[in-house]
Amino acid sequence: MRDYTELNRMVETGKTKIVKQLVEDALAEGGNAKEILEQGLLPGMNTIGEKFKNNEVFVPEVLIAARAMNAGTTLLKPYMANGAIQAPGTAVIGTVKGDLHDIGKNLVKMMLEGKGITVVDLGTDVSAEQFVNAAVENNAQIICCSALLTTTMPEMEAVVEKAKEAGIREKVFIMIGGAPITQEFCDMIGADCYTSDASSAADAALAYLNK
Amino acid sequence: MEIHFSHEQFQTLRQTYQKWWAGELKRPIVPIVTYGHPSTVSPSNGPFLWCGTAWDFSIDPRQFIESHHAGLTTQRWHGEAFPHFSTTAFGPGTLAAFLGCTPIGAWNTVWFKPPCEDIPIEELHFEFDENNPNYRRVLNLYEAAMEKWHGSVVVGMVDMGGILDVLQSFRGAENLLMDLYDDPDEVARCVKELQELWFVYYNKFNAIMAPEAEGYTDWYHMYGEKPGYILQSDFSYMIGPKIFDTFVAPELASSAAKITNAVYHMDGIGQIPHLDSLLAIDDIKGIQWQPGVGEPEKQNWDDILSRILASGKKLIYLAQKPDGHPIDIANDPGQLYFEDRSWHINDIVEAQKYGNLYGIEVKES
Ligand code: B12
Repeated sequence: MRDYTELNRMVETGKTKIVKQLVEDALAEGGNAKEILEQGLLPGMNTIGEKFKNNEVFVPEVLIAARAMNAGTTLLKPYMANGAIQAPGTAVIGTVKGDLHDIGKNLVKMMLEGKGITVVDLGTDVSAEQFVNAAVENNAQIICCSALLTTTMPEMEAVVEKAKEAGIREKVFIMIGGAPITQEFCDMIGADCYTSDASSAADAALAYLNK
Repeated sequence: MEIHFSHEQFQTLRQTYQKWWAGELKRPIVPIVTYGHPSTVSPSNGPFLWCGTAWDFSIDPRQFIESHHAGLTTQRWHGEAFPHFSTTAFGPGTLAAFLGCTPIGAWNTVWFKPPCEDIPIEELHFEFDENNPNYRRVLNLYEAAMEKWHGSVVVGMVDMGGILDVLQSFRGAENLLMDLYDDPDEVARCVKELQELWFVYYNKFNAIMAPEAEGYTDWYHMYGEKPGYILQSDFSYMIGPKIFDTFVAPELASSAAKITNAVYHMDGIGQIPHLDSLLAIDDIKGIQWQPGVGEPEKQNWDDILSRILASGKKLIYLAQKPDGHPIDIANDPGQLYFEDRSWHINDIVEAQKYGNLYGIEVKES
């Protein structure tokens, strides 16, 4: 196996240009796309996720690391189209209706992608109906809702209700998060999972998919 | 006298604050207001100044002053409370509006829409614009307030925002977070430009008040004999200490040096990594700590509070639960300012009970 230490480190420190170069080199030398992704790109993102959880790095560092990882995965895409890599599952994600805060949501998305999970990003100001429709259309196993305003939290309950109405409640794992959200709130509205940070969110999502 | 607060009461207020800042008061600053007193002025139907009306250009700022005046005539001020007119409704970070963003008012907040999305940072240049309608509107409000009250009601400085908060309005949060790595020099240039402009507006507004003002206040309603301010940098919630020390701390230090008794608004647990840097800035004389949304109020913040107190700075605290009362851990209660229920007491007996806790006499005037 190739030595991916340098690529890991470059993802972790957000060096987009170098990551691109290293991925191109690896591909040119006949490297396997799945291996480059799993050994080269994702571990760097996982390390930064752990460090973020432990307050060793902060939002900008995660953003640039994710950008570097994405630059790498984009180069790998053409090599992965033939189903060489099976994503563990699909999640739809968005910030709930009335709420435009998306940094936390984007971090969760990046961490999920860092676990190889396919993520459909619905953006901000997403209604309960949009969440549920997107989950149906994309055959998603997970719905992730983010809210930063106390006034928009109730929309999460609407997502749970809409999922019931659409008859998919048993089939989707509804995850919620954002600064004002608590475990009690999660229990109260009948969602499935709350975590306080993006890295734990990705762990929980993967654990659910691997169950 | 329609507004029951005399020049002599302002005099006392000034002296109390002087003692407090000098560490001689030995009790907290506690503002207490009672409402619903008889008035000779008929009650107003508005329009009142709130986020939804602040930027409604069909309303003449004079109307806000009149409706607020009617309300003030029914209030009485005890402890360190004083009649004031808050301008927070213009939203957090109004400097962005003076420099070209469009303010959009909602029921409890305002946000600032940039002139266009994703303007590259190197293309952002900020200049004072005498004719900016948003600036004119706030300016007119100050003029109207002085005309009406001649300084006897203290008019709050608009919440012009933290420097990176304003830059974020133009650049977008995520772009700016990455700019810190991609274009640090451009960020530094923008910070410098914005900080200079911040003071241009601050000085302009204060100059309108200066000739007659009984004092100054800001969106936090602390009283200042001279222009003060509660500095902030909410954006710093998202960054680590290294970036904070490069882009924020030096700006805060030099801004604080230009302000009398500057205080820092430390909002949310994301600001805790910056506490040491903040405490190291001599010209920041006090820290206002609030844990932020979703953070259990009952959680014990004693460590944070003790660190602030140990630095000798004032602690401005929003006490919502008696068990979180920092008075228990302060050796010198004179280091504290309480902004808790005190602005919201309706009943004089309750106000007296509350005042008694701190040795403040509440008269039934
Ligand atoms: C940046 C910011 C903004 C930016 C947003 C930029 C953007 N593109 O997102 C701007 C300037 C646009 C903004 C606007 C407003 N904001 Co704002 N904003 C903030 C600030 C400073 C930081 C939020 C943030 O990004 N934190 C960093 C991220 C990484 O943390 P996070 O979102 O919590 O996410 C983490 C976890 O919660 C978790 N997570 C997040 N989502 C999910 C989802 C799932 C499924 C899971 C499992 C986990 C999870 O993982 C993330 C990473 O670990 C906070 C201050 C604070 N103390 O929080 C205020 C704050 C959230 N804003 C607030 C307000 C009031 C507003 C405005 C209404 C008013 C205003 N003008 O400020 C508008 C609202 C516009 C709207 N309709 O949404 C208030 C909310 C108060 C309340 N009680 O509701 C706060 C708390 C500030 C304050 N003290 O008043 N804001």
